[in-house]
Amino acid sequence: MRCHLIDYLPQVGGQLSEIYPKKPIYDIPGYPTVLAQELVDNLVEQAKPFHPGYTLGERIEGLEKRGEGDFVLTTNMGTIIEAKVVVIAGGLGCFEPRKPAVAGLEQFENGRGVNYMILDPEKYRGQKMVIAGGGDSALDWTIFLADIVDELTLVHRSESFRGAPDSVNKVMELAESGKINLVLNSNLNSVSGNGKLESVELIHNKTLETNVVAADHLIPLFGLSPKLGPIEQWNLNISKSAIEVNTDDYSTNIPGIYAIGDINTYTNKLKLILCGFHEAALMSHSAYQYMNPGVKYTMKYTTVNGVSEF
Amino acid sequence: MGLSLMEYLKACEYDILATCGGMALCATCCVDVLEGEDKLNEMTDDEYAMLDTLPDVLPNSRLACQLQLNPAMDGLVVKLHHAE
Repeated sequence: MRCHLIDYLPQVGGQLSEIYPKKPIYDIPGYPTVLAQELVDNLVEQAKPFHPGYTLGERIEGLEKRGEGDFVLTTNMGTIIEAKVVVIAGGLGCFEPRKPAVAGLEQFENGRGVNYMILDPEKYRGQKMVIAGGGDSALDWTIFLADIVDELTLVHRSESFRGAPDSVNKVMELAESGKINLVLNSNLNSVSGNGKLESVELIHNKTLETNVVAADHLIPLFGLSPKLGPIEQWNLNISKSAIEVNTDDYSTNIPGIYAIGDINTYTNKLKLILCGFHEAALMSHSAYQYMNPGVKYTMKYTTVNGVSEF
Repeated sequence: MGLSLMEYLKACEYDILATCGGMALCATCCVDVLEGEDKLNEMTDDEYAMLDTLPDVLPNSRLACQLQLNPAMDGLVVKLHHAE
């Protein structure tokens, strides 16, 4: 069964790669301890012989069934994917960026200057940019982009940063050498432009003094927070932000759609990676039967037959 | 090993996400302390750094996963930061 993975994050791995890549996990069978990102890398390696496809940095918005036929999925970037079976392994929901409360910010989204994640740094070469935030993400991107952009302003609400000390030092050096403009104790106040972002107004949070910075791009980096998002619109049975499933095979109320991992719910559900693995196994066998009705299925063990590459 | 405020709120089925499971890595368990702020353990750098990433953090915001429940907290009143 050929698989194609779509995720809103720019990398695979969900919470493990996004929230806690360097944290050790102690409850994966066979691994007394394994770092979260290492587990993800191993899983990617294990899936390689089956040549899965990946569409990353895009969110599935629409999910429709063509009569009795295939499902058609559409992403926020207009990518269309057709599939016989859809498996939702969305974890706690789609990681959506936390947006600052700045009036009119939405009018500059979707290619007009405001972005909440950086997918292709080259896009910013020679441009004027404002990055807002104080976490590791804001520091790391400032360090990386300082050499690419024409002008970079980093604005942070506090007096100091509490990120990785190396990163904090590098940012302070960049500010001292004049390579970036560092604006502390300040917030984003407003944005303006004619159809496209042209400037960002910053406000000092004690003196209330404002300062307008010319900008082609504004990247607010205030972390990500999971939301069920478009999944709520797909006519699935949902209970407390989780998808109800049949524990025979983790299918949902819509034939051909399954839900596995933290995104599903059933009596005695445990939100463990281990449970996700088990649910995936049962789901896969059911999906095969669904796609090949009437075909007699024989299970083969990898210890006997090895792994046959696609 | 005692309970954190986050674990207790989750066990009581309050609408609190706690995506990272309690490692001060996601800020989804943020609470605003309405009474009893002085009864709480001091904020660590990790907690401060995570709270700092929230665009609408308040001076009395804390991460519930970093508050270990103990009798000295009697009388604490908090509001879920992300509650609508």
